[in-house]
Amino acid sequence: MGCNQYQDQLMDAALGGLPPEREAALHAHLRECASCRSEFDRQQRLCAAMDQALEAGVAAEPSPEFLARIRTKIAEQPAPGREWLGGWLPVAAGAVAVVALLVVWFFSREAVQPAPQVSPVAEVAPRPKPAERPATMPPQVAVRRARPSARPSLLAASAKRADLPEVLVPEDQQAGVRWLYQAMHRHPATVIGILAEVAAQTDAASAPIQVEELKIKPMEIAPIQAAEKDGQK
Amino acid sequence: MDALVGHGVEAAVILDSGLEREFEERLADSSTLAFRLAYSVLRNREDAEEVAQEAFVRAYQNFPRLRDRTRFRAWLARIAWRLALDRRRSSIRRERREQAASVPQPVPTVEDLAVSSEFQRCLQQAIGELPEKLRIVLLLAAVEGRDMREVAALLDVPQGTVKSRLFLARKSLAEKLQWAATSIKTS
Repeated sequence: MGCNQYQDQLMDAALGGLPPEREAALHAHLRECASCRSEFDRQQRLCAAMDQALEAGVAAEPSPEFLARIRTKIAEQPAPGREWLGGWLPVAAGAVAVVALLVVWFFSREAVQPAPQVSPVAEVAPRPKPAERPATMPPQVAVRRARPSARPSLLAASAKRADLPEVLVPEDQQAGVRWLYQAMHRHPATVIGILAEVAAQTDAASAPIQVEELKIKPMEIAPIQAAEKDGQK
Repeated sequence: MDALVGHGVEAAVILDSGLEREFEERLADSSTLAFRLAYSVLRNREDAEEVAQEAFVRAYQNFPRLRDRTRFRAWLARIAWRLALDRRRSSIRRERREQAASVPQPVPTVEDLAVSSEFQRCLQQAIGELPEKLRIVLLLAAVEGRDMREVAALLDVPQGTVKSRLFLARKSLAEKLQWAATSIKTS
């Protein structure tokens, strides 16, 4: 290996970062080459001066009053333990309150049962006994009674009719829900009919959905007038 | 009820006293480290003392949140380092504004300056140009007397990482100083 190859290793060797086997080879060359030895000595002096200047640069001592000034500044601060407690107690209390509210809200939601699709007057009429109900129920729409103080329904057409339940629907879903409601109204107990409507709405190139026919008996609900008469009897 | 409240207040006072006593011990042990680390960045004793004091105040305010108290020196070193860098950046911006506003002073030539001063200036400039990861290892090694184990503990990195970063930092400085020395000779 010539001097050129060893020249690149001189700095690493001066810094003490050369692997042992390469360092041994380099020192063997330095014993024979005065030029490289001279350059290596220069690199070593540079690194030593650098290390010395580095250590001198951080060897400064603080003033004698340094610690006293720190203690004075710290004494002006509130005690860390009490402040820590005082700071975290309101946060902890707030977190407990939020959790309590969430629990109350969750259980109040659970109490709201999805009601069967009945007319508004069904609330005062006697509910059919479980034995009188058909074996299979038609698809039901979960409705919520609209209280007078509640927000006006977004499904304006249905809200205006007193005999229809009020459903709160987001604005961007009104058209779809209205169409679904009307389809279910036309075919109250036939899922195939609804799916046929879906097929009619889709692209003509789409293959129609093949579904086995379901046999669902319509739910028999006594007309209002007849129920009132029964009650009066 | 009053007895319970009284006991609660007493417990809080004991907690405060214990924390403060523990902090006082850490203060005595780490004050020089914080100062020297700040000084290595700022090169000014007054600024370094102010930064070190601010680092201790912040450490004091957050002391109860420190889970592992054995990491206090490393934690304090990081706070002091960050504050020193922020202070240095502010000083540089202020100096630039002042220089832009003031009449330019003649730059001393290489012949006007003592070699050791010029060497120190070139060294500080080269340190400032190092990437932060290498710079902090270099300065901490200088502060801790090249104790690799201590530097590794302060930075929470393996000793091998400290050694390799220190080597890279010193090599970068040496190459820049070598170039600067050549420039001074030939000018």
